[in-house]
Amino acid sequence: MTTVMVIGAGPAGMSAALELQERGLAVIVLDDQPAPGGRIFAAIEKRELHGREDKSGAELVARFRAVGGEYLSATEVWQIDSGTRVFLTHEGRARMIEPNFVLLATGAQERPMPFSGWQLPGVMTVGAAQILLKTAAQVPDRPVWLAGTGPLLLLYARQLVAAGGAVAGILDTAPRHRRVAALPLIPRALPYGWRDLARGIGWLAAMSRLRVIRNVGSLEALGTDRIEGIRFRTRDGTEREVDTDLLFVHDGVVPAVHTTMAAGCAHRWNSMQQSFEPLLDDFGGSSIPNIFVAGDGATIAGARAATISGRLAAIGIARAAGTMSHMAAETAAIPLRRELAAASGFRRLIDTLYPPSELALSDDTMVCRCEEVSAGKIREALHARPHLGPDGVKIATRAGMGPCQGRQCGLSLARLVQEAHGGSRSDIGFLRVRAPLKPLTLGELASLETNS
Amino acid sequence: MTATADVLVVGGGLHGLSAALQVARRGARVILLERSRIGRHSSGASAAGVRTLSRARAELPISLEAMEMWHHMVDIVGDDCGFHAYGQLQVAETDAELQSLRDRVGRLHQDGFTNEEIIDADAIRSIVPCLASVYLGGAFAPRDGAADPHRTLSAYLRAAVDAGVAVHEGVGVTALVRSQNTWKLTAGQRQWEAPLLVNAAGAWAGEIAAMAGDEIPIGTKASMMIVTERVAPFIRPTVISMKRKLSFKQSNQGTLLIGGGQQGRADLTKESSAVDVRLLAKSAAAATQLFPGVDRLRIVRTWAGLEAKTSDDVAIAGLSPSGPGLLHLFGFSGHGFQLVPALGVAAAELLLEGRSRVDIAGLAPQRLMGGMATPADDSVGAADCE
Repeated sequence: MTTVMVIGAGPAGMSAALELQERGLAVIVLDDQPAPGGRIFAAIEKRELHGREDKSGAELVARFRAVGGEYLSATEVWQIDSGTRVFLTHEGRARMIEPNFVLLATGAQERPMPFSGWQLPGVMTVGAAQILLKTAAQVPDRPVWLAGTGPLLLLYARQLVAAGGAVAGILDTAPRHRRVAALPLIPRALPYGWRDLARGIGWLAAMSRLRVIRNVGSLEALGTDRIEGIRFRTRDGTEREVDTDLLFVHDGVVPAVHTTMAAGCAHRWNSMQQSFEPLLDDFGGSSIPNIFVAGDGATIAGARAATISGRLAAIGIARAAGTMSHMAAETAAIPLRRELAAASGFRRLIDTLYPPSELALSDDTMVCRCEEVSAGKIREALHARPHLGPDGVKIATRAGMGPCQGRQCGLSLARLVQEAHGGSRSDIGFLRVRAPLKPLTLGELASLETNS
Repeated sequence: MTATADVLVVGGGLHGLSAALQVARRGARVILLERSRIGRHSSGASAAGVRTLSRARAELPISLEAMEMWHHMVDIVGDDCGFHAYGQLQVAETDAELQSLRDRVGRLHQDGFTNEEIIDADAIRSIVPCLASVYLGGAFAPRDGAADPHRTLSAYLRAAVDAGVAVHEGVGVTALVRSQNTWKLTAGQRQWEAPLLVNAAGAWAGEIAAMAGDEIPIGTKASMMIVTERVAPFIRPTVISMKRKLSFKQSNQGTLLIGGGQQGRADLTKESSAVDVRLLAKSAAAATQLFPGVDRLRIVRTWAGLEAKTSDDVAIAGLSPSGPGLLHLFGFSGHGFQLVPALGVAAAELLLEGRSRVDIAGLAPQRLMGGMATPADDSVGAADCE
């Protein structure tokens, strides 16, 4: 029997698993979290549900639990190679599984937002703060400064206030005039996103009661052992300082491409979202045979679109496995593709409203936090060496050699390469991704030998 | 556009840089051409072992010369390259292994080489207390050690440029001809000319040699490495186990470096290599068996680097027998890092004066060309342990 491994139990992975089961394929779903739901529906089985989205998430999780196939939680996938050979760790033991198909639904990561002092204790990402709020109901005991851009920042501000927290102020890093550019995109966004837009307008209204400083172009966390204040400058040149010991930052999300890169899938540079994403066919099939990708790991489109792209990829797999005819698959794909097209209309609006901040990278900014390499040091290494590239910068400076595997510095390294020598971001590429993709101990790796 | 020089070096790994540096220091104008970027393959992926221990006899004189130079690296490239002479230790776990070490070291001492000594289990315990008590004794080279590969690359690049070497990255040689005592190299639209040529093209040096008319059969290696998270000072010497295919040391950054010659997958056409984690698991298993407690350490990264391997696991360094003014410098088979400073000098002497001060006759390419390769000697097994 054809086996399909789904990696990631968020909206895309769960929907895909359900669709695959329905199409008569044997499914095994792996996820690094203790329970299904992905980031967006983290701990949804345990917490109070807020609104429609949470309800549909809880329903999806319940259906997945009931009929979603074999499910391995708390499982780290740390390498994929030679096609669909998947290496994983579960309960301290490493295993290799080679299914017929792999569907990668590994979601997004927050876009790293480097600025001077971003490594100081007291500075954290909005995404991390929100996970603490969702999974442990943790609310900061004092007012928090927020900085950055994107819907998640607004959502968190609202959730924080609703949970009894306080926002000291918001430093909005989106450039001015973006709303004007977004106006003509609204008609194509409405069919899919009117409900989200209405919700967003509600958040904006709530935000208008908060202190918001707009058009912030550079940011600096002050302090030596931890953050003591923020110095910021607006793009029209006003510089100010505020005291704070908590700063939460967010700059949108990007596909988590480490797994697709390790698997050897071809990628392209999405200049709108300023991120890499795997190159996919219209069923979500990657450049590597029998590896499919769905959800925000394919392109950032949000949770609802992820459930659709997950189902579409499942149909693509069923077709490739021969359990669905080409005709049946194409027919089943029509409404899903129509919905995805509508979702991308909405996404264009969101991307236009919230472009990446691209804050100035001052020389003292710790671009690589693991190895403590500053932007200045990287610029120095790049001087007069147009062929160095991100991997050469890594060799020359150790930036990107640390445990985060370039998740925090990869995009910045490429940005600095471009700043020094020009060239397109797709040609410059990304740091070469090295195994292991996830934390793996020597003992766990050693256990692989006896298991396989 | 044609640029001329006295010497052209093809290949911007450490050996190409070292040869270029030494030639330039002797007053010649040098141009170095690197297809990708400096240290892209083996040099950037090296574990940077500085080892005379268990060297093939043909390499031993130049290796001992290099060892002296490593102890004065600051004088050569203005940086110590992170070198520490913490010693290298080869452990024996069986009587047969210990006997073979005794035989080797006995022969070395007979011939006047004193770089290695046999030490007993108590001595091992005192220098590597973290090692599991599986050993009966070992061979120890106290002046050996390890360096920092990336610092070494940076230092050699800087020194070469300071000495006047014109370094061109992103220049891949596509054609090579010799006419009127001049080597003419083509890369795309550009041309370079010089009477003397160094072939230090690593895994692709066989192709460059063939362009110049020399058929030197070589294989490829893609030795794999594991590096862990940083830990407190744990071990000083490099420990080698031939039986377990393991080399184990701690870097200056505090990370543990685990190698030993397990091979990844090489792809010469794509100019890349990939790790084979099933074989890496064997390295990890060997490390956890020999060093109790390291099983809990997180792996930060694994990698493999591409380089040329000869049939007798001895490096190729010498003038071409067919084309005048051509020097081959490749085929280091997993243990070229330590030889870098001394082979650069020998290469410069061979090119400019016709003979080298240190005897490297055993590394001459002729031995692999059109005849039987010399059989490997008993020290070959440790080839991958840097």
